[in-house]
Amino acid sequence: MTQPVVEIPAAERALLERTARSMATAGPTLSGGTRRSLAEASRAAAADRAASTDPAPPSANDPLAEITHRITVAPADIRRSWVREQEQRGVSSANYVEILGLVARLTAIDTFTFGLGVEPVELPPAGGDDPTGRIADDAALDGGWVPTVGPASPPSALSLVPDEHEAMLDLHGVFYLSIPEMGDLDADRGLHRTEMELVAARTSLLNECFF
Amino acid sequence: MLRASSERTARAADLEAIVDPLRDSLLPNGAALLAFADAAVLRDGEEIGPARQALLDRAGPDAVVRAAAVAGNFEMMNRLLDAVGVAVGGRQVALADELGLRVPDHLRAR
Repeated sequence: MTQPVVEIPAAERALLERTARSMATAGPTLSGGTRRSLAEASRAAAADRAASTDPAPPSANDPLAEITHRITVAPADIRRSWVREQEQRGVSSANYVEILGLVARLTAIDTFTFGLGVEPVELPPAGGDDPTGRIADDAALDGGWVPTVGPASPPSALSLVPDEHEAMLDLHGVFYLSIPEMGDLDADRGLHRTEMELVAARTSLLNECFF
Repeated sequence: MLRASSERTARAADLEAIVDPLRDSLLPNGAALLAFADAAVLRDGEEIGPARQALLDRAGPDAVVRAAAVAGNFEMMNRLLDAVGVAVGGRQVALADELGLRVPDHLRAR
C-alpha cells in the first residue's frame, strides 16, 4: 500500500486484511482459486466502468463470471427473471449468494481504499480447493429471489450462506455501525450519525437503490 | 435514517440535498461529504483528491475515514438488496416520491 493521506485505523486495517484473505479462501460452494479469479474479474470490470470504457463482457459460457460482472457494474438492472435464468444454467442459489457476498464486500473495501487514496488491498494466493459446503438448512424463499433465514431484508440478504452473512455483518460493524448500534441515532464515529446518513443516502442514490 | 437521526437529535437537515448536491443540506460539512461520496462511489480519479482534501481540511482525518467507510458499506448493502430483490417498503416509497424519485415496480412491496 502507498502511504495514505490519512492513517487507516487498526480496526479498519484488520478488516481489509480479513476481507482480502476471504476472497482467496474456499467458500461454501467455490474453491479459493475460483473465488480469487472472480474477485479479480470484478476489480477489472469496476476499473473499466470507472474509466468510462465499456467493461469487457464475460464469456457467455461462464455464468459465474456473468453474475460477477452484473453485480459489479449494473446491480440495479438485476431482475427476478435473470436470477431464475442463472438457476436454469446450473447456478445454485448458494453459488449466487456466495458470489454476491464476495463481490459486494470487495466493492466495499475497494471504495474505502480509493476514497482514502491508497492502493487496493492485494489478494493473497488462493488456498483451499474444496468448498466447505456450509449452507443454512433453514433458509427458504420468503419475499426475496433467493432463500433467506427469515424474511428477505437488508440483514438477512446473505443468510443462506452463513460465512458470507457473518462477513457482511463484520464489515457493516467496522465500516458503519453494528446491527445493535443501528438504533443509536446520535452515534458519532468521526462523523455524526446525520452526516453518516447523508453519505449513505447519496451512495444509494448513485446506485439507484432506494433503501 | 437521515430523517430519523435528524429529527431525533434536533439537527436540521434538508433531504433534498441528497438529490441536488448544490443545495445546502444544513448539516456540518454537508457539501464536502456529498462531493467526497460522489467521487468515491463513481471512482472519479480526478475529483477524489480535491474532495478528500476539502473534507480533511474541514472535518479532519477521522471524518475522511468514516465517510470512505460508510460509502463502502453502502456500496455493499445496495448490491445485496438489488441482487436479492428485497422489496422497498411504503415509508421508503413515500420518501422517494417526496424527493421526486420513482421506485421501480419490481422493487415495490406487494
